[in-house]
Amino acid sequence: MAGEAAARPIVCKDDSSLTGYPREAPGAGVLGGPLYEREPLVCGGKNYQQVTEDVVRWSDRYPTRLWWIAIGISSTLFLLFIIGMSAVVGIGTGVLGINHPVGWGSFIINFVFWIGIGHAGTLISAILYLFRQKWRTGINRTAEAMTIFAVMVAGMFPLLHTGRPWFAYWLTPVPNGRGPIWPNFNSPLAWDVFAVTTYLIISLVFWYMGLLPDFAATRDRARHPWRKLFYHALSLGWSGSNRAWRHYEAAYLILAGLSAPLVLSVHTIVSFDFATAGLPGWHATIFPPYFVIGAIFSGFAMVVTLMVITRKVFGLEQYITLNHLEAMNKIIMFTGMVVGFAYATEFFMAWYSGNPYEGFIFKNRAFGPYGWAYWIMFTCNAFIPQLFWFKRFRRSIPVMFTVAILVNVGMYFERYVIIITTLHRDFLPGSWGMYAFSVYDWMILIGSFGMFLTFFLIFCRLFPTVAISEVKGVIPAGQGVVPEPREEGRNGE
Amino acid sequence: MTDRTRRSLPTIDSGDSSRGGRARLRLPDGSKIDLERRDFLRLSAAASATAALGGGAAGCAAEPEHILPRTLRPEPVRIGQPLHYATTCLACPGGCGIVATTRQGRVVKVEGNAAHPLNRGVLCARGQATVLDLYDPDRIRKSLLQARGKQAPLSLSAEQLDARVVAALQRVQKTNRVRLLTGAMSGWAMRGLVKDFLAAFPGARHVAWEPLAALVQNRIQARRQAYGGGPRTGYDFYHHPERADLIVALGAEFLDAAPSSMQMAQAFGERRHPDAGGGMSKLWVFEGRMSLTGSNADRRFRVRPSQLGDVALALAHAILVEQRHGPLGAEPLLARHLAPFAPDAVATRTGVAVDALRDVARGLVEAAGKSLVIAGGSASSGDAGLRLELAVNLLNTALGNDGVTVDHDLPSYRHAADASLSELTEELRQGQVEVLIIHGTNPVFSAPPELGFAEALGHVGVVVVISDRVDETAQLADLVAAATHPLESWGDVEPALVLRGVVQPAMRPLGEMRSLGDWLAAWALTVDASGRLVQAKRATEPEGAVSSATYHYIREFWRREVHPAWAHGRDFETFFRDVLHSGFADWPPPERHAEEAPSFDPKALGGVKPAAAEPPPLELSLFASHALYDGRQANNGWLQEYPDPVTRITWDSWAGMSPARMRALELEDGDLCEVKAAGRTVTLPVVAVPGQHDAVVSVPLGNGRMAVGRVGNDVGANGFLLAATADRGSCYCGHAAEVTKLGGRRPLAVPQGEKVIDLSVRPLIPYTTLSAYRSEPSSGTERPAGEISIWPRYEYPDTRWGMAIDLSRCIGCGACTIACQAENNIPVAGRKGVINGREMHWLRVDRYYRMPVEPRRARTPEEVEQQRRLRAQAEADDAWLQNPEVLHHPLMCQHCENAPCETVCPVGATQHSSDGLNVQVYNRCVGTRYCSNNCPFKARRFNWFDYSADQVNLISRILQPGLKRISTLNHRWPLALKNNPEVTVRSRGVMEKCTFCVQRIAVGRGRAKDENRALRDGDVVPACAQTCPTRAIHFGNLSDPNSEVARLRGSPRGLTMLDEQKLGTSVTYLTKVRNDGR
Repeated sequence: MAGEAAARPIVCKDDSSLTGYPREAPGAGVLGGPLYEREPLVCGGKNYQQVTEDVVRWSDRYPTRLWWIAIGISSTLFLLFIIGMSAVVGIGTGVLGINHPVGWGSFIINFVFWIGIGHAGTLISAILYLFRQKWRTGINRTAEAMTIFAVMVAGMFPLLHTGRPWFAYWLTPVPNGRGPIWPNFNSPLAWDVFAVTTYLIISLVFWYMGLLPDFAATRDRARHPWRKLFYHALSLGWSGSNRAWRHYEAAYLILAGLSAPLVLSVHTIVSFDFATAGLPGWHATIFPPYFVIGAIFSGFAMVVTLMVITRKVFGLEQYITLNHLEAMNKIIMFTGMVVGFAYATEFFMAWYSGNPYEGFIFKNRAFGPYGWAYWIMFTCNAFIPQLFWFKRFRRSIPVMFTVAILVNVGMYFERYVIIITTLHRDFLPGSWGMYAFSVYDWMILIGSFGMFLTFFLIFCRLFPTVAISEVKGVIPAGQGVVPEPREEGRNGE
Repeated sequence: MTDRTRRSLPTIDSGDSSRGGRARLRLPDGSKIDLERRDFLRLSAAASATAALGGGAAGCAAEPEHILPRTLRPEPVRIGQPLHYATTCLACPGGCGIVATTRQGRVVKVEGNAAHPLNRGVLCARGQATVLDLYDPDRIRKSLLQARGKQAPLSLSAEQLDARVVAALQRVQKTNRVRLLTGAMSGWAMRGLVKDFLAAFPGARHVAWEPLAALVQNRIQARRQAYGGGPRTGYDFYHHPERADLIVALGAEFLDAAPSSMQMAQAFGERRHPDAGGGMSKLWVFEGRMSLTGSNADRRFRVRPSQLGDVALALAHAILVEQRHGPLGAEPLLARHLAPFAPDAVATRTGVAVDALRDVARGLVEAAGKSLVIAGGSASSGDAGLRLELAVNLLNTALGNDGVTVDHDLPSYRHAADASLSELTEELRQGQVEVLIIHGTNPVFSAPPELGFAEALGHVGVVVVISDRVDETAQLADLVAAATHPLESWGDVEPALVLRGVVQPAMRPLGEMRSLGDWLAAWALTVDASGRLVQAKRATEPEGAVSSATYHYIREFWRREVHPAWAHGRDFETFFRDVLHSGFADWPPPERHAEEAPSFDPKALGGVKPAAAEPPPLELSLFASHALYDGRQANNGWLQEYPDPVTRITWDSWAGMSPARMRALELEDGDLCEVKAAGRTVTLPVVAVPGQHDAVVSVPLGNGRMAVGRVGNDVGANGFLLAATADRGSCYCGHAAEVTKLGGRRPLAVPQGEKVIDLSVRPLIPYTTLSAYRSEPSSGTERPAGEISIWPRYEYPDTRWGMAIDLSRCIGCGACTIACQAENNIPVAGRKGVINGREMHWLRVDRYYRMPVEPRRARTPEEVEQQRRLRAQAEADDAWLQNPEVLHHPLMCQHCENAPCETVCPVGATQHSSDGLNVQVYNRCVGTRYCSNNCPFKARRFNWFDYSADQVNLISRILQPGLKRISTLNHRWPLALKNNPEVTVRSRGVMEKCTFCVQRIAVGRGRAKDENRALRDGDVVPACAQTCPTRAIHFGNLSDPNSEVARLRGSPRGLTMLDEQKLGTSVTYLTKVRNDGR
């Protein structure tokens, strides 16, 4: 009896029947003790066909009205982004709010923010994969897509924030006819170029790799010949043979191994832009871990924000369950505390070092003219995630959605605070100044969300939003157990 | 030739050459050569090389070219070499000698004439900026039929204008119904020219009027009253601050915008450092507003301007009556006149501590014979000003300063203007004037409105304005004759009895313009056929003669009047050539006779009364703005963007009040207020001026022009509207004012960030007191110990350029800023640009108020605690800001050895040169701005827009309307002509910064190389050092141990900034030593 119970997995009809706790079967364990079983990662007792059906059906039909409205709004915002960027490139960086002494403004803030957003995707797809965290399967595709688009958006900023963007390729070590002129490898900005492009390429390949079997599944189901051809091309002739799978698995593992250090390296190098500068408030050894953890923090918040919407709109509640969201909320809470600790450490170091410039900068951060930004940052990042100590809040969609949004607001302000408050008052009081967004800064900030969402919506329409093949591996069917269809779960019994 | 060459070359037998890798050649003599392919190639390469070397290049260029050498090149012109002309600056009546540098026939830079006795090579910002005036797009290049603005102006040729003016003049010939109104005219020949012109109209008068001459009228009047009329009345004293141990300034703004303030600054600076021969001089200042002079004071007392006379007389009382000092001390009449000015009574009235008054008096007595009491700011205008000037004369005579620090024998004619504008206006109003010719003055803008000058112009038959633009006065004229710029004109000046300068053109006029003399000569030709002016005009007629009649007139005049006495034996041609070469003629100063020191007439003090017992709650203090003087250069972008040295405001005028008064009126910086004085109101933003007297509202003059041009129109408000009239010209100070809050705000364009510096936290400016310096020369420059660095040090075996700035000498005038702007083609950012923090100055002069916390690095816990307490007190209570100590800090790129900017540039656009320069490669820069961020001094400037090009098009007009303004300021033709061809004009999106004038370094290096010698001091002088009036900036080679900069860098006074960052800056700051001796 006990053995049978262990072999038969728990099946939950839908998302709301999940509790977040392991199920206890008294007397079912060895020696007659209680047996604790994890709740299933996918609800609804799906079989292979249903999984494919649930995910792929969206790309096989005309888009919904909701999708059209969403893409309408986001592409309008994207247009705003394009207009803003055209002004910056066509007229000059002077259209933005930057000045002396604040030479970096919204563009670098946006860059660090968007790069940070990307990190959660890589963490989920690579590190959680390596750690065999099976719950990642429901969310990794979307999270990876988020990474790709966030890095694409992020990449626009360092490229176009320069005074002469048409020469931005000078930052790359391209052999050229200008004599032996190479980038200055001392400069963290040159490192950035390598870090970000590597990150984008590896993430893209990794993501595409994972998509192959799913494209094939879509192809197999597609009825329209054009659609069939489209997915046929994308799936690179995936046959699903044993050999293909073996190669696929090995390549996936290798790519996961390659991506894993990138999670740490990219934001470490981005933080070097600041940490290797000599300015008080920037020149700190805490920056790399502080930036990486902040990136994961904001990335997870973004994943939560997107998942809450995606699962609802595409009816994927049974794949992206509350348990998934709760797990991510736990990570948000944890990284939030680390970030809060980093804030405290910075203040401690400013005081403990006895460096008057450093001391002033931090006093100025909290109580100077940009104190409001500092306190928004501190509240949103260090205090608000503490709500997740309560399971009720961790599992409440409205609460987690609000918190996730606020965390990203807070993380935006973190970058704002780091960049602006350090630059606006450094060593010589005479060179101090203030910074404010111009119309174009706003346009481009809002527009960058438009660009991101436009890409994301197109992704949702055309690509399988859940990693079908991986999900199939975590449903009971994939583990060699065939559940009886429509069997009630054991809870409530 | 061509054919022969062709024939002499071997021809290839093409039929065979392709076969089997062999070449067959047929030589001209018919023989054949059969070669391997490789051998053929070798041979043909050698053959073509030989052909090219041996003058056979014609073989390559089949067509002959015809080029002609330019044999008719003017003798002194060398391609690529600038030409220099010595002339005189007319930006104010000061008459400083300048050298105009021209390239390809256009002036690109103006610098002080090093040989000129008045300014000895230095030039103020306004003088530097005259180049920009020259290329002002708003200048008229043709004369106009203005018709008093009743119809659209009609362009006239010079001849058409001549005809109209001559017709008007002929109507009134032989009558006295002609008047000529000009600005100050000190030149002997020019005054003669005007007189000759007016000779055709018996009884006609020349009136010279200058709005700010009012500041000197009282000085002249006081001199007459005190010492009686001299042989040449109407002159100003000549002061010698360099001879004084103690200077007591009573509202004197001798370092501010006064004419030739640079000459005063230069003399003053000679003894303003602790190692000066004869000791460091002291400057004690009594004043109402915070002037640049006051900001350099060792002790400063706040007094209402209207009560400065009382204070001066109280000092006289303390010296003569209480201490009975000197021969005047026994004068009973003086004692009687001074009785109401006992220090105790004056202290009660003015609020100056009685001890301070007695202390200053004691100090003056101790320094008797070597002190200087000086007034002459706007407090010297009006009736109270006469009292002040009388008292100053009394003090100087009583202390025996006459002939030492106050020179009566060397009169100065800088303000050669009279105050009779009111008389002229009356004549105009009564219709006694038929033809009025105006030149070089703008009374509609600057005369006190009470006079009603604009209205009186309506009663004149024909008003002819000779002007370079349609200004406020020219708008009301019938005819506007296009005038040349002084750099395109002939003229002369006489700044002092023993000094005559010539004004000569450095380039041809940009259009159909003529100078004053040329216009008058053209008109005289028809009206009066006999005078000297007509002769001069006739002299222009022969082929090849100089086309300016003024030139011939001046030449003749100098031959007749100046040459006999001034030539020192030279014949006239040599003498005149020497004068044109040097720009001036001087005469040794007259013998000084100590026994002839003037005697002060005690009766002069007879009418002197104490100031009103109940002064108004607020009184006005108008002052000539440092950047704009009286507003004549208001259309100059450089000057509009030249920060006021005290308030640091650009592109505006303001009402300054003390911080306490601002608080009492619940005002914040930038709040718009209505300032009411003399029955008129103007609207101005207010600004807190620490150090200003609580009862003073200070308003700068010069802005508020309505018709000066696209740059200066509608900037600020016209302070002249608030002036009152007095007996001797306008009164700019001391009358009651009211300030009413209006409710709006106008952000002030201030390029500087924070105004207070706490040297105990940020020991960036070396500062100490004289007594501390005496006991420990390195006080104020304490550096962190240790030389640990992970960077390898650079080697500079030959040259490392460096700069040393003596903060004790620096008075903060900011002339260097404009010199740098002129030299390095620095664009103007505009008012909005400054507000957005985008001013482009490579060199700025920060002005700080020093927080009264001991600057030295605290060592013991008690010292730390004491500093903390002092700081907390200073932060909590800003009472110290009521009369703060001011530090001026010139700042440019420090050319760090381990420059933070260099390592972070991703494309390597900023590099370290082998001679220690931190160089910026504009072509390579992509504009990440990382260098600027990482610069601890924020000395780098970014090209936010394409300032040098016209970016205005349909799309940019919609997306960024402000570009139009930028284009107006920097791009409009012919502004580009001002650019120095030796300096790259930067494009959009690149970073720029101080280069230590690398183009001058290249020239200096080249010269040393030509002369086959090592570089030495003086080979390279950057623009800022060249113009610095107090010689605070030294530049040279730090690797040469004998150079001045190396010596200064090694001195205990030297501090390089932020040593703890291991920057190794190349700029050394020498301690600002404040003279704390009594």
